[in-house]
Amino acid sequence: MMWSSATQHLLQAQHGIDAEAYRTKLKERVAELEAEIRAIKSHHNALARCNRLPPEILSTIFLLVAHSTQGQNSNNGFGQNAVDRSWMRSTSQVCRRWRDVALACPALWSRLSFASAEITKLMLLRSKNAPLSVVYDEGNAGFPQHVVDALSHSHRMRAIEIGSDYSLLDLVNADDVQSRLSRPVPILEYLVLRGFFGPDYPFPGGSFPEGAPALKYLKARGCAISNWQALPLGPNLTTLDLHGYSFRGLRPSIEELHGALKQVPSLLELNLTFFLPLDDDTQPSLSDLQHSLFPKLTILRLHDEFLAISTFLRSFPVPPSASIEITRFARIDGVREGTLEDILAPLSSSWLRVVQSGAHSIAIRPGDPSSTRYIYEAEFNYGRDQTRSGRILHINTPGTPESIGHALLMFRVCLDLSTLSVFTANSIILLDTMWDALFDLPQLAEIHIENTTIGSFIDALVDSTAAECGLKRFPAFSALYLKEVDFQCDDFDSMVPAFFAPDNTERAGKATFILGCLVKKMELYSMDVVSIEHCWNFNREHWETMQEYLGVKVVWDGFEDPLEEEREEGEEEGVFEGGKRGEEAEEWEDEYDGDEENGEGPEDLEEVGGERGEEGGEETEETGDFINEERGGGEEAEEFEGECEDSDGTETDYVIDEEEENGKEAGKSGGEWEEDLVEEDECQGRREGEEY
Amino acid sequence: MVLLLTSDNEMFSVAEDVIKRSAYIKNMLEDVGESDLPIPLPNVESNVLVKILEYCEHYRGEPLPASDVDPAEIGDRSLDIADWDQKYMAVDQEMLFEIILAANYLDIKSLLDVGCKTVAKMMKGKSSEEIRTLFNIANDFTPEEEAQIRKENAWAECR
Repeated sequence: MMWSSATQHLLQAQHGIDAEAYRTKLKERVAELEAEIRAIKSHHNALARCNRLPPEILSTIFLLVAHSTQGQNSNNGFGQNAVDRSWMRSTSQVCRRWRDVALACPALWSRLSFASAEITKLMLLRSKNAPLSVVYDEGNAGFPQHVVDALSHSHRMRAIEIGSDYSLLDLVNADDVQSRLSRPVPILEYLVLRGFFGPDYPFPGGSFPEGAPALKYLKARGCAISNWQALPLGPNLTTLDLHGYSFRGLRPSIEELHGALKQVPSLLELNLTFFLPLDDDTQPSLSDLQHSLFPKLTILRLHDEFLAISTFLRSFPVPPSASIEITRFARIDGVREGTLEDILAPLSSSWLRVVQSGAHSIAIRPGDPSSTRYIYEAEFNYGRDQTRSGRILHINTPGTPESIGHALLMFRVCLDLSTLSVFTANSIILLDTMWDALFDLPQLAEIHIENTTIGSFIDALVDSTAAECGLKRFPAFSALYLKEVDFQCDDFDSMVPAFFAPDNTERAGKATFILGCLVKKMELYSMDVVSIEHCWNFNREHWETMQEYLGVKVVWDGFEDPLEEEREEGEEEGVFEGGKRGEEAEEWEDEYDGDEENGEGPEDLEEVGGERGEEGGEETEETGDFINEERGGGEEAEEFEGECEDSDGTETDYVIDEEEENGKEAGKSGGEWEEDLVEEDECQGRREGEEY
Repeated sequence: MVLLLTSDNEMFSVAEDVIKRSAYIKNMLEDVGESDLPIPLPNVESNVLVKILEYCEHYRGEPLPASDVDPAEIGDRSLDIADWDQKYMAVDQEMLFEIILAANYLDIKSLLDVGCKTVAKMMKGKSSEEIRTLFNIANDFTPEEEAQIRKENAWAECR
């Protein structure tokens, strides 16, 4: 063993020294050596790559670590008292330099932890004069004294978020908390007060005697507001979210609300729940309520009874930049609000104003979709699309056919839909009556139908007899987008949706193939766009023939029902199935030309911008759309465009040249279609492969 | 074109709109005006500058980030990093810290931000011992400091 000279000297000096004194000397030597080791370690650390970073960058990284973990927890609602403090271990407890940097960064300690009084005190100390954040949900145990004490640092508060499982009124020391919130808060930017269950708690009345001049975000849930002038509103506020506990709570008058909103010209988002005025009779005229209110507003969410919502929309100008979201709450006591007309009629004038103001969009949805009390269950969204002129109307969410049909008619009666250019029905059951509300809209050009049956739509389109008489239904109709639609319909006459049928056996017996009917009617329109995406009982042959008859590009994603293919086992092989393509170009030919067996020749396949070579024919995944161009008389070239994803993940455009085969194929299937269409005049056609 | 001279005496000729992502160079060009003389970068080696220019080239034409962000204002900024940036930052530790230092020196805020987030993501959720292993750092705390740390941890876990 090699000793340092000092250690060697100490070891040799043992004789003749008092044992106790010698032990002390040994301890001192150990301490010297430990210090030396630490010095060497510190020197070693100084050479670490990460320690080349200057303190300001290291502290920025520490802040990112700390705030990302703390932020994770504060988004969880309750339970965030268990704030992740792992950031302390991974920053200030690694080495001396990192600890020095951490302790010299007050902002790192400014988001207070309340795990114990000691840690709160320590963080208050280390945060020096940095602006503080207090985030605390007391559950149902009241606020510990050290939380209340922390709130006393009101002049340093930048963010306060406190809440209770029940009502803030129920807090053990609610008065203490309220008093702490009633002091000047010169730098407070973010204030959230939450009480969930129980009676409304009074919004810290008389709070903030000097206002909250820096406040940007104010959210109060479960509160009662008795004095709207006392709210800490100001020119910097961008988000205001006030949520009463119930519709029975204290509401502002129009003047009170107007007076309050006048103070927040920078407002971007306004959410009001059960805080809409109901004093319809005394409302000031619009000229009194000038349009200078919240000119920058982008989101307006109103959650209340319709009467209150209507009062608001009539009384407050909505800027064109705003998207409006209306959620209607039924009365909790179960009292229905009357008929749909009762609900929509008060909205009509406000709707007109909203539409005339050019509001970005308006959505109406029930407050609680699970409740059966609501008269309708669908979500309506009527708005402006930047890419199109006119308006769009989306209806989503399954509802009963009667309720949606009735709602649509009422929309038509009560609201102005004359500028509607796009209609989308998603996952709703469409009955004839629904189209009655839409068929004569002058600008309705684009119809999207998703995940539902289309029989009633086909019925609603003009037929040849009516067309000859000059009757025009859907006068502007020129674009149809079908997605997840089944072209085999169980009972076309009554259009009972497939899932209403009692059993599958019976359904199979009554199934009707309705594509021919659709095409026959669409021929009477000048179509610009037809899109077929992920539709059932639709295949390549249908696609080709559809284009021929409509004389328009039909965009098709190439999806063919794999179950359908199984059923037709032996007829066609693996058309686009599972995205797997053959290994050689020839396999494409086989796949795309399943009709070879029917006497049709193979297709040639070319890669765009070059020949589709050996690699080009390797495994690919079909991802693109198919566009059939310039079909005509079966002699003109048909191109098959799209994108294939090769096995290596790269995308390759491709074109299938069907020039030669087109004539035969189109001629054949076209003829069959013609027969089919004639047969299906009475809509009795049956989809049985060979019928086409 | 702008001439840049690295610490290892390599000269780079770079399009002005590419290198102007560096506030340092941008200000220098504005102050000095057009010049044939190279701008010396004594704190940046050529291999690092190549990497920095790759970043600037990728974001060429995109608007420069707004004003300074006070580190204390970071708030709830997430550690999300764009896909391309993540791939760009998939380098060894030495290069990672060199990029951060160069971004700091050249005052390229967006790159500095991505660098800091990359390191923060590496650290997040790790214990002090794991961090030491990750960055090859030794524990050089005194016994007193160790005792204080133990106490803090106990306080932090109290509830």
